[in-house]
Amino acid sequence: MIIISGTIISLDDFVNQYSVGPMERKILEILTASEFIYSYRSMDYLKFELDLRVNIIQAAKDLYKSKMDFKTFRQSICNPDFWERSEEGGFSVKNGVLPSDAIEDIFINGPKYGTECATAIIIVYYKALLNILPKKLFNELFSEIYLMNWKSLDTDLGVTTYKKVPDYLPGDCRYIDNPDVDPLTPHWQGENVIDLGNGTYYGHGIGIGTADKIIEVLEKYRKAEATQPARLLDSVTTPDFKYLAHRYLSFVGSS
Amino acid sequence: MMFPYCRCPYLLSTKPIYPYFMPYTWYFSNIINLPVKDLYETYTRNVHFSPLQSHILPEWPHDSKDEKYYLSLDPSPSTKLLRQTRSHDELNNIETAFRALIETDLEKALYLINHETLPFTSLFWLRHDIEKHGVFDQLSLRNRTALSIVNEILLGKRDTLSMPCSYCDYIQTVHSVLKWILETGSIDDGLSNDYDQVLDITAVLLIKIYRDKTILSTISDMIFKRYTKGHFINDLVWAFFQSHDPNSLIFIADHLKSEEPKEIELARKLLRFCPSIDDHSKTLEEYTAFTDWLKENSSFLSFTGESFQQSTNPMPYVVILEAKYLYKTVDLLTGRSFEAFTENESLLLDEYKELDNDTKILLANFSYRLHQRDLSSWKTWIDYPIEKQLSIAKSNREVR
Repeated sequence: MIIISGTIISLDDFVNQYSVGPMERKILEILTASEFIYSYRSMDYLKFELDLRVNIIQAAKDLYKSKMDFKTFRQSICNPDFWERSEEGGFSVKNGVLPSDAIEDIFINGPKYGTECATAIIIVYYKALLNILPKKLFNELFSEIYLMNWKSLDTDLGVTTYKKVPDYLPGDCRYIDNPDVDPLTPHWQGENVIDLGNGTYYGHGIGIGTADKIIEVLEKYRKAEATQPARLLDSVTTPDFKYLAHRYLSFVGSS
Repeated sequence: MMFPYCRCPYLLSTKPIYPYFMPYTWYFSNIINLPVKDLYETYTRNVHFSPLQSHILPEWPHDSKDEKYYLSLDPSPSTKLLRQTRSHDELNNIETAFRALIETDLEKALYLINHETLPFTSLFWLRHDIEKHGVFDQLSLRNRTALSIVNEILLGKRDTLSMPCSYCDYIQTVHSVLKWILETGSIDDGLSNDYDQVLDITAVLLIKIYRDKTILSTISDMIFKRYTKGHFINDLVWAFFQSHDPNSLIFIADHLKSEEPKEIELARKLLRFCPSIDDHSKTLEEYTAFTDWLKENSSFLSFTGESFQQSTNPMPYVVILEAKYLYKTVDLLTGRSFEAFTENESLLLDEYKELDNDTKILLANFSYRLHQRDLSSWKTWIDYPIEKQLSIAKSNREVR
């Protein structure tokens, strides 16, 4: 259930105040039907999370369409007009370039970029935020973007992995583990995927498909005579919706 | 199984040796003052003889009059140079010398390239010349195996086996060759992207396939050296944790004592799953707290497989609190107890599982510490109903 200021919020309560699309409605249905208590400071905070989740899904689809390549970190590539590639294969925004422009360029010039699946998820998060935050706030919050899997993240994204969650929601990042991966292809040890909310997932380097389809592809990269199947884990990774909502609402409230 | 190692004849020789092709000569200045036993062990750990050695080593070649091929056994500036990672210029000199030799004296060139003391770096650097001159088939089994592995890693060329050996011999040969690649190659880590990739995959193969934990210290050193240089570490870190060996974490914890801030930063990042690593304590205190934590929990740890590909703060190991509470050692990979539970233990566990996490931790820690301090008291305590256990634990929080 959803609770705001001590009051249980129904789907209708929300729909009466905001216009909602089908994906937002779907998320609200899961939240309101859950036995778990989802608590928000205000409707605006809830609205922000719904918007961000919908934009994460859209950004995932857009990244897929951008034709960004799959490359290991050792062979990663980026557009040198906007990014500098580090020795370890990550990308940092070039001096004098706005982070918002640098993120946008990945979606415009996708084939000029190539990286692994975890970095793709971070790119999706940034693009989703770019879609809904004012550019000024985006560039203030993320002035030093470094794209390199989960290892070196901007703390303002607040990315957290939860072992178990009461409900899986569209826009969640899930992980498909491939424990018997071929040692020659360690980059296929698992796949970070975005739940697109319609029974399919986006995983960079594999594409869009059901969990079973992605598992089938991953299992092509298992060692000979493998015994352990690839599987979708229970864990969920998300940005910090509430913190980001707070930053957004403070910004629009003061401007 | 120990492989049939042999001692290098040069150790007892005063003959000059060939520096470019045998940089292991720097060992001599290190080991010449060691007792015979240590000297043997130092050598056998690092240089081996394949049990399948199909090439008989040629006789000692005719001594060259060219000074560049010689190195004195005395510790001299030139030997010191060879201890260091070699630059591209130095390796290019090796390449030039090898090219000249292969055209003028093929036998000598093959002798040198096939010699047991050759480090992997030289073979890797000369691989294009070897291919160009069509001498692959005249290489030793070690070298042919190593180059085939390199081709599989870098080019995806999966050669069909045409090795004159049994499956069992093949398994052991590949293990020996992988170990040779990593042990003699790690000194030149950072040579090139391709070279580092070969070392990474070699480490993964040794850990994941051969379950070889003897190279964990080498891998740990490589990880920290790379990190301070800003180089790629993900695959090596992944390989290290895939060893499923909590005791190996000490290799990482040792870097908490480093004076290099980047090393401390990485050690903290890799050990963050341990509650004693908090970024605020003094690093020496963190180190002590970590070793205490490891000692207390190593029997109750379960491997999760989490890595930086999956999570910002991966937790590769978790403590199985139920096991710690009942003082039952668990299987690291399954997290299940090796021992069956008694009826009373099963009942206790059912109640324990219903407790909140803080209470679980309190009981598990108390149980462990009481068990360590006084087994007889522990046996009495564990037989009490869980409420009474909790009451005693709460009034004795200070038990350590």
